[in-house]
Amino acid sequence: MCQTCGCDEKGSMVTIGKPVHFQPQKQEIKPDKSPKPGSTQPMAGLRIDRPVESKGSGDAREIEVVENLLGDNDAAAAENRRFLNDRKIFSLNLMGSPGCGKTTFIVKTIEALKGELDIFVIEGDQFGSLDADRISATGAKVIQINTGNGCHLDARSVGKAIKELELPENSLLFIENIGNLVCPALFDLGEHFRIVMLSVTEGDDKPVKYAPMFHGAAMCLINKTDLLEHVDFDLEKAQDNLRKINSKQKIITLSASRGSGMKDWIALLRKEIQASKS
Amino acid sequence: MHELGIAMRIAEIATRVAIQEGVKKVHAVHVEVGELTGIVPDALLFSFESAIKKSFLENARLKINLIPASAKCNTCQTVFRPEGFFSFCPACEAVDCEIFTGKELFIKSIVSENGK
Repeated sequence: MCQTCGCDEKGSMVTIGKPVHFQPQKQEIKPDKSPKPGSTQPMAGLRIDRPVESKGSGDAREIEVVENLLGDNDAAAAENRRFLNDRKIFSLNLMGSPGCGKTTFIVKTIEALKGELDIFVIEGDQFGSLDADRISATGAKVIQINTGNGCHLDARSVGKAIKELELPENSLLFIENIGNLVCPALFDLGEHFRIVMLSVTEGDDKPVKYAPMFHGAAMCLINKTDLLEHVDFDLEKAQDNLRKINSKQKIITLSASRGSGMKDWIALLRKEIQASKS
Repeated sequence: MHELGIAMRIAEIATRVAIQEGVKKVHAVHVEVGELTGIVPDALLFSFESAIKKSFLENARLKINLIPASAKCNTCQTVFRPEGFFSFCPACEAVDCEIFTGKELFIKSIVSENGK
């Protein structure tokens, strides 16, 4: 059982599909030189020997080590981050409730950036490959992770999927997390940018009800704004709630299916990718 | 938290460094643990004892320095001691706070036995 959120991780079968792509690409991939999972990286190269007060024959020595002891998931996430940085790949972890529009949003982003950026997708779902099929129809390469009874993606399974995808340098990686506003917030996947999507059909109170999720995301996308006139969703109140939880969060309102706001998002994405490389 | 996994990693690093530095017998291993890591010191001590049984580190003592948590509210700038990664500011009840200390988890040093 997962000790963080109680979901059944080990008893369930996490399956990672094979990459799906319409036109197989030939890519030169550098060998993976990153350390194996579970290893730790020194925080600083400091190593100072100094004598320690002692009695008896000879002195004891204190040897400074200063090395991080990461938990399993954090160690795997750090490895993913290193792997992606080495290849200048920008990665996004997209989270949100089931049905908030994550997959449609990814599809529209791929379409908007066709010819400009190579986009690869890791699809997390409890079962099936419906979302991966939708992504692969755009021509982008996608890999499906099925978590079975698990309620979130973890860094280790994402690490395996990243390697299966054979990502070229300077590409963009989308990780669509399991539809859930609770547990995915607790797991660093090694991504560069964390996005939470909130659709107007869910209610403007969600940021305060699921605060850790909204607190941890660098950006919130308020989706399905074309439905605003039909639902009881106060856009201003939602934005106030978001600022209460995370004053530094970037907020974009959009309708992924109708296209409004997508330009703002694409402009911001370009800026973030640029910033990550400078 | 998973103290046994952490204890095994401490043992792994301490052993590696000791061998690199030509230490024949390790007397103590110092670790710094932030109180927000959720690590229970007693459980870590117990796990460490189990992890080093019949190993190069046998009889080495684990010394834990527990680091208190501190945070600053991004809204009213109050500095306080948070109870978790996600805490309400005691002054203005905002939840948007920056954690300063309490997340530390690292092995600081190893101490050899006298003359070894």
